[in-house]
Amino acid sequence: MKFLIRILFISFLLLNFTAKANDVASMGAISEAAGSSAQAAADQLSADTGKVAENIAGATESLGEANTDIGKALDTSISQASQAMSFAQESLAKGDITSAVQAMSMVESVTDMALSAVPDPTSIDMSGINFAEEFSPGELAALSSIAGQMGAGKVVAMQKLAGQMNAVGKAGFDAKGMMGTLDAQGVGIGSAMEGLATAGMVDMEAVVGGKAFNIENFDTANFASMNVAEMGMNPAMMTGALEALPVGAATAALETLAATPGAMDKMGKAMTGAIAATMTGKGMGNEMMKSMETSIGIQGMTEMAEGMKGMDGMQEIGEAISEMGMENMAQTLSTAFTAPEVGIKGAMSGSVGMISQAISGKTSKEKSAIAQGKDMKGSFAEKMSEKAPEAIDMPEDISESGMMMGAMVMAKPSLAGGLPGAMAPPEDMTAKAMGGLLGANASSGSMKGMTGVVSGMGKAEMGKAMAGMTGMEAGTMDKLGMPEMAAQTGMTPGMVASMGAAGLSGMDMTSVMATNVAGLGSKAVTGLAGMAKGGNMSPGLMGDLMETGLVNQGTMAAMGAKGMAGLSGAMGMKGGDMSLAAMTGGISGMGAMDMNATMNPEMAASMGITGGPGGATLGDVMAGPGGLEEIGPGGLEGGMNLGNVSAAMGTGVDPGKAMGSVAAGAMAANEAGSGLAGAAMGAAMSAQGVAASAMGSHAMGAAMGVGGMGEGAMGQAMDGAMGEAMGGAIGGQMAGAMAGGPMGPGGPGGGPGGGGGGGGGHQGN
Amino acid sequence: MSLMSLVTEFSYASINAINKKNLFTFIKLFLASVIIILISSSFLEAAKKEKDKKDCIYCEKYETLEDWPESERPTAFIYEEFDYPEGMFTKKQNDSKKKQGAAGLKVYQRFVKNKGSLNKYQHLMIRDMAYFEALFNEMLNDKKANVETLEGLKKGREAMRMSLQISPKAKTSEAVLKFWATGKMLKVTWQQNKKKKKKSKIDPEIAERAAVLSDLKTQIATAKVNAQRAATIEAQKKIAEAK
Repeated sequence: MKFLIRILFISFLLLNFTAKANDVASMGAISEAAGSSAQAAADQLSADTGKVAENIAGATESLGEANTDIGKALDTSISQASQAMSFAQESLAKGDITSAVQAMSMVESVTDMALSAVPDPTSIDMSGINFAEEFSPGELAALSSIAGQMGAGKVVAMQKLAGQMNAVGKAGFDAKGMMGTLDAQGVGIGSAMEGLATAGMVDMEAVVGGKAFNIENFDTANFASMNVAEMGMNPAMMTGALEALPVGAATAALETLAATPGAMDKMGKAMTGAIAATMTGKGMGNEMMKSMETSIGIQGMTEMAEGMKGMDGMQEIGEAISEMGMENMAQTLSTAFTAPEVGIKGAMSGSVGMISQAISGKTSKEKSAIAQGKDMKGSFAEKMSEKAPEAIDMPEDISESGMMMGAMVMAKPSLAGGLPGAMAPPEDMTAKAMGGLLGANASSGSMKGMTGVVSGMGKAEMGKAMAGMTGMEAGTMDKLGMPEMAAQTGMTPGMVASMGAAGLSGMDMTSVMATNVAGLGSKAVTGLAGMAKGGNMSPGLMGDLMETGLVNQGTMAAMGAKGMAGLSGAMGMKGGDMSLAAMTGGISGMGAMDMNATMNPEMAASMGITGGPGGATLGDVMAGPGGLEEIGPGGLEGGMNLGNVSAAMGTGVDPGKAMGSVAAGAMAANEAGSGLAGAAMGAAMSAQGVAASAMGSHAMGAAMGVGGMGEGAMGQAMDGAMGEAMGGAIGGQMAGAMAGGPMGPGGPGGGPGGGGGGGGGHQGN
Repeated sequence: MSLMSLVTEFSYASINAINKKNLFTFIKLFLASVIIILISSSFLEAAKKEKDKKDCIYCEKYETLEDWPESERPTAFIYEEFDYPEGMFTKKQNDSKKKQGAAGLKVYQRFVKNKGSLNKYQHLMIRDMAYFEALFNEMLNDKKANVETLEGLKKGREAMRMSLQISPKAKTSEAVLKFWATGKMLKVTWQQNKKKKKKSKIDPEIAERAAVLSDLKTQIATAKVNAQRAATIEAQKKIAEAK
């Protein structure tokens, strides 16, 4: 009897574990449609991973044993990739799409790390400098800031990798063992973290609790969820990194510092002021700074930022660096600009090369290692694409509802690694929280997503919002299980639509989603959204919110109908369904734009917009090149997505240009009748642009340009929206980011085309 | 803004700059500028016919800075007074006009006259971007400065700032210091390393493996896209059945 009970108990546990890890079964429990969609995804993945695994096996056989150290390291990477792909195949056989996708993403990250170890003839050689002797303190501060800005992307990339390790580790894959093997060859996460620590981008003590990296003590989920203050970034680097990252990252960092005893003293007044200055530099006015003081826990932030802007600020930071020890800083900078694993050398070589090629109109003669390898006649690399998975062509009849259902099936698999903590996402979307949904001890299969920040995210509300977006009947939607699927993602319908557009076109989902919810991990930002929700936000604050890029899909949902009505009204937009606008992140429900409507003067002023004596009208603001004379007196029905405008403004784009570009996109979409799909693609492209600006090339490591979006209405709409976005306000950031990656100048996707795009993107504004 | 029109803006600035230079240099630069302007004008004329509107926003309302009250200007169009990094200007270049001229000349020489060598001398390109910032800033201190030119220069400035990921919102002084310090760093390394023979040919065994890994990454990314597409296609089938 005892034996029987034991068997039953073990069977129960195994069944429970399998059911939780089986995405196909979980989706099948919602509806037959959801189950079969998940099964289709699993089958496709299974077929494609089979081809990839065969290719890896072929490569291993054909390449033979390497003689050089770097060649051996690359062989180890290929062999470890093979093991991870085998794990992905095993997971798929069990219906576990999540583990398979995370393992595949981890291979992508590992590949990036391995490629960064390869010598790059196109990169700038910055070795052999004595920073302590040849540079003034002010110049050192400027170089630290640049290093911080360019290194931020690598930190985010390492957080993504740590999140992926956490996810596959929960599913039973020995990710730490894999990294140990790679580290033995100098191309694992430990080697990268050592480099980042020497460059001052992280503090090893904060990350692993010791002076040297130790894989056993490395808490992957914890590191993946840290903000830049929690990971112990050097203050001088931090000021630069926070210039690149969204403003919510800076408020979250300040909250951490304020809550850590002694941290502010250790930082020094100059450094704290420098962080506050990055916030004002992004457009945050005195009123917003004051309103944040209580939530952050620091008083007098405006005063702190005074004198810390521009060159004065650099000189002050320089003095602070001198006090901390010039030798240390010199060593830090030397590593930052020379060590390939830190990523700064690659990022700088890419962006500098892009601009020099764009202005001179000449292509660099140097070819990257990848390009040289691809050009080798008779090599395995030449043949590899023959048996590669081919992009599926999208049929013509795909609707927006189909796109959203597909996105909901893939939401958990894509986001199980969590969103990088440096972007200050909501706590429930970090690796720490996502880890709780995976493996044997999972609490449930549902993602909490935005539910901790936004109320009213249940099945009923989701169904209503999706019906409003797609026009599908509630009964049909219930039958398909769409409301339940949406509730399980914990994301707003707008986010689901963005994910659909992003995933189908090959964008990096984690980057898109991290941007969509950036800052919601900061109390100061949620406090602002709460203020808007209660209708207590002044137009001046709303202007700041727009200018600093804080109006994203997450904050719009948190602001609710009242907050969105206030924001849209102050912009001079009329009507619309504000509840829908909030839940869709401005993709649907926005009010109509009357070009003669006057913006609230206080809001206009805080956005840096000046108007005539009668105030600034939308027509005034958007006049000029690329302007919108084409919009008739009737205005633009359906308005424009304020989230897209704010996204562009947050990266420093002029408000008039940002609005002009987004309105032009909306107008083109209206003319083409592209509707929701085009709007969702516009939102996804905006998010990707911000991610590119914040994270550099590391955000662009997906399969953009994979093609096959189809000739149907939705495919054309999405292609059109993608084109509008690339040529619009944020196109420059995209091209700039693409230039710095492993596929950068000289490599596929880089070169003069990218450069021209870069120039064109910005110059064309 | 096209690169051609950017060249025109550089040329305009350089003509201002050469006032203080000797006759020979003046004639040389003037002729070069005229040729560039003529070529650019033909392009611009064609573009004008096509669009028949100015490629700027504020120039529609204001011709020179004198007409444009500072209170109505965005921050980017307000002059910033600060001490340029040591060595950027000579002691004789001690007022705004002289600084503008000197910066204009540097910009002309680097980005117009020698633009073909920018890939080779990236360190000088970055350093001279500091002069581009200075030129724009000092022009903001000139009441007679043409607003259309300034708007054109600002677009060029934003494009150049992309090379070091400097925010378009950053103050001029910050951008100047960043370009100057980075240019200095790159110049030092260039001087140190110019005698080293740069290895442009990668060991074939490394190059081949790098290409394999790169292709592997692309294949995985495609597989992930395909998964979502497959789920979407199947979902669409079910939606059609449910209707």
